[in-house]
Amino acid sequence: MKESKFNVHKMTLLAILIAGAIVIGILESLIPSIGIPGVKLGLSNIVILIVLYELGIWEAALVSLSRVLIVSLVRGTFLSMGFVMSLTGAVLSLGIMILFYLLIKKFSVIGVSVIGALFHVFGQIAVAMLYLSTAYILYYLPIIAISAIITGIIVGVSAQLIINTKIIAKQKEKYNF
Amino acid sequence: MDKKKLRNDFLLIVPLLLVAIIALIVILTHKTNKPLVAKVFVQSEVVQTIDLSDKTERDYTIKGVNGELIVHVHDGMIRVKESNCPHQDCVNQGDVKDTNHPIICAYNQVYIVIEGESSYDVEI
Repeated sequence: MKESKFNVHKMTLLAILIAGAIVIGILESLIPSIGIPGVKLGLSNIVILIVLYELGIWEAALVSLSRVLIVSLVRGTFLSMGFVMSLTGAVLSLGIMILFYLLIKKFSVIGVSVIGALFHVFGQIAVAMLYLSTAYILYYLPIIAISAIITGIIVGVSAQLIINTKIIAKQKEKYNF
Repeated sequence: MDKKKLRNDFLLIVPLLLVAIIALIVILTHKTNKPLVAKVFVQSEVVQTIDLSDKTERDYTIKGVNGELIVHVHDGMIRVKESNCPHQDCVNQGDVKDTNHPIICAYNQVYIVIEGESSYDVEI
């Protein structure tokens, strides 16, 4: 049977996943900062990784970009410096993850997650440097990179554990998308 | 899980982590001889130059893009005492006394840098 482009089940599943990514992001922002700007868990990437592995690259792009857009509209930061930082981080991170996932099929979810987390902070730091026109922010890069690698591993393991439950694979089979 | 892929992950992550740790150690151990002045920038323009060799305690009010910051100076150290930014990263960072740790408040587009005699010359 030829699969329909607009599968209601798939659309609903994606909507739920986007909502999940947004809620995780908001919950995460409630965790107090440790005093270094840019250090956070990046748990929303769990959702992006699951979508990338289970549903495909366009779906992952949809979830990632919708998340950035909706969060900025909810927080009222649309088109601000923070929004540009998130968007650049999300696009770079997604781009490198797709590259590592599709072209270089030599890494597991954990490797893809770590490289994604790293490029997310690279993107954010690049934007901050442009906005403030200073390279001083680069002093923070090593500590931010170390934290991104560690959180990337945690996120990758979590995503793998959720993929292992086949929760989305079962939906895919049941409603055939 | 695929063992080979996990090994590749390891080969990817460990060198990256090592590079980052070495860079961190270099930055933390790089000491300047005499940190002298703190420069406060708003949107990349110097708005205040503070002489840190003057040990008296004093406050400065800095007008940022979205509000005001109160900068406190004492014993050759500088910190942001109050800021209206949502995350308060600049306030939580506390006292800074060397050239390696700029204070950045992205919300107000303010950054504070200590410049010494042998600091890195990083410019764009």
